[in-house]
Amino acid sequence: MNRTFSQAEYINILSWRTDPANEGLDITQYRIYTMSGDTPTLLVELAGDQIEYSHRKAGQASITYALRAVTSSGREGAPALVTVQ
Amino acid sequence: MIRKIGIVLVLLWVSHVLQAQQATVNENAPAPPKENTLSMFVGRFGFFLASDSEFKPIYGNGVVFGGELRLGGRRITGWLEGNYRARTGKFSFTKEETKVNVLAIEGGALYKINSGKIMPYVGAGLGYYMYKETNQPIGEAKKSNISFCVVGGASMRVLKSLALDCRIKYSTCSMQPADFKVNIGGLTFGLGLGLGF
Repeated sequence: MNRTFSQAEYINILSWRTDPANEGLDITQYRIYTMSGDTPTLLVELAGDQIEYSHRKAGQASITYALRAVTSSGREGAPALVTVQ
Repeated sequence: MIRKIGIVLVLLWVSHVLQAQQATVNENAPAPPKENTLSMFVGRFGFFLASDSEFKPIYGNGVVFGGELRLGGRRITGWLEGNYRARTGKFSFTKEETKVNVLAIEGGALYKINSGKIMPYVGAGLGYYMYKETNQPIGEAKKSNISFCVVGGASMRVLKSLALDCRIKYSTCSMQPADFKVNIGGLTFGLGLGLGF
């Protein structure tokens, strides 16, 4: 929780390591989705050299994130799922 | 709000009328030596210590500026003041900048304990407190509320119409402008320069 005197926001900090299986691929982006059941909603697109993201004003509810690597040809990899309680 | 301000104005008026009546009753008597009163304009600054334990880690303590009008008789004096304090602080986790300001209008009655050169007094009154907190990450939170305050202090005439005033004031005011219920009151140690009349 990140607070002032009267206000507060919840920040979920996601960090990851590059998948060794992606070695040799040109990873240019990461896409983070929030999952509602099986339906993903794009939260943010990040550059391929980023390995951390802070989701500001995330609220107190449980959120499932899906992180996908994206190659220079636009192909998305399999998602890495994480749920923040 | 208007009702509360009305009460304060009535208190000021009553104390002024009482003083006028005393003057009328004593019209034919030999004039007694003029007694020092608390009637004066006071410009003051002070140091504020917040009651709410969550205030200090974010904003710390700080200064308060204000002005005050006192009007009244030998013992009871009406008092009306405005004061302002503003602080810049940091978010608890990201350390981003956040600002808070509180504008207060307070008024009530003071009781003068002694009438020497040094005039100690105590008093109590109502305050209307306007709170605003702003920052980039979350936005703005503001709220106002009416609450109570008590004061104690002493005025000392250093010249015929010039007085030094030192005072401690305690105020309390709870409200919930956003996510947390907060108390924006606290202790104020104040010094003032008064212009008597």
